Amino acid sequence: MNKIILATTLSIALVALGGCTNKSVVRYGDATAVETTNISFGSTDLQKVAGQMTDSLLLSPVVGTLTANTRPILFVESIKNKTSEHIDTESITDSISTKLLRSGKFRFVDMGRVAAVREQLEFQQSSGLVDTSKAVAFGQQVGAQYMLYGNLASIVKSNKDQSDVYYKFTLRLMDLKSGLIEWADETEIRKTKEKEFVSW
Amino acid sequence: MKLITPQMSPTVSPILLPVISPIILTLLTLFLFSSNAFADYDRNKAVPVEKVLFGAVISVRNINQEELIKDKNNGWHTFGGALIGGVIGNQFGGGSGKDVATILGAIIGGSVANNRHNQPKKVVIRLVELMIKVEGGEQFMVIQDYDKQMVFHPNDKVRMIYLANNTVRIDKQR
Repeated sequence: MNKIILATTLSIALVALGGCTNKSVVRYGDATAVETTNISFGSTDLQKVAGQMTDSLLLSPVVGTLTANTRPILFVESIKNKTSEHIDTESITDSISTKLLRSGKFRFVDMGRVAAVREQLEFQQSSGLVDTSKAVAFGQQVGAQYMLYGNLASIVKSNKDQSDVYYKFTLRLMDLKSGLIEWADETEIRKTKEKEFVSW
Repeated sequence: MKLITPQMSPTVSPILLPVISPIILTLLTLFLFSSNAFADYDRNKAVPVEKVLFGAVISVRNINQEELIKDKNNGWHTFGGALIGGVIGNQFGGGSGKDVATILGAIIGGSVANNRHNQPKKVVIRLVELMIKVEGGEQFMVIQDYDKQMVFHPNDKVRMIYLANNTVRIDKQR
């Protein structure tokens, strides 16, 4: 009898416990709110890196001279991810190039869409469906004058009570004609995680 | 967890509960254990890195290795020597005339399928053998766990991450 009571109590406790933890709620949040779910590279880091780099580039005196009378054409090469984490670096460059485009000082060519453009032009030129007098001809695109590229590196240190991650994001702007690096800057992010002995 | 939901209804008779409770316990146990049976690489964790090489996959070969379990008790590290020594065939071995450095990657033993129905101790380990050409032109053969979250194909752009614990892991660049 005792065993039955024990089993009943146990199962009720389990069901009650399951009921408490099983609830999931969906909410909308602020996309720019500081996110501290864990120590890994997150949305706040991405926004910080993209924001600081764009501000630095736009405020740089050299870039001021470059963009004085013209809107230079840029292409984004890639951001080399040298961390242990699987980070979508294209998302960082997307944010940077969007901010730069919105400033109205630069224009961009997208190397990631070359194949799609070629396919469309081939369709216009040789499918027979498009009016040839109005079709976009090959060989009329404008080439990039500058290349934007960079690195994302991290240093990780941890012991049993504390972890420390240091991210360094470097971005450079190279003049394709002369090969000179016209502008460069770096952003640092330091994140630490400590065990809190008293928490409420 | 959803499987348990019907038993949470208040209409269940108290007499039935002792009968149901072992079922709940079994379901719960099954859930808890099944979630960890096929662990994949934790690629979103910030850990120390020694260096990163960038390159592309030349070829991929999936390996199901049954014998590997023999040495699991002695640690993968010691077994690594035997593995490189030719337990697993090198897909470009022999005639190519080119020395390819073979690296035993960060094998976590996560993708282990235990078929205990046939033989008690027979374990199949799913590995993947990746031929990688890095930007400097050098080629590496890396053997690591098959991870269903990140399946490699030829021409995939990859990163070869030398982790600080003397292991190597291949990740896709994007």
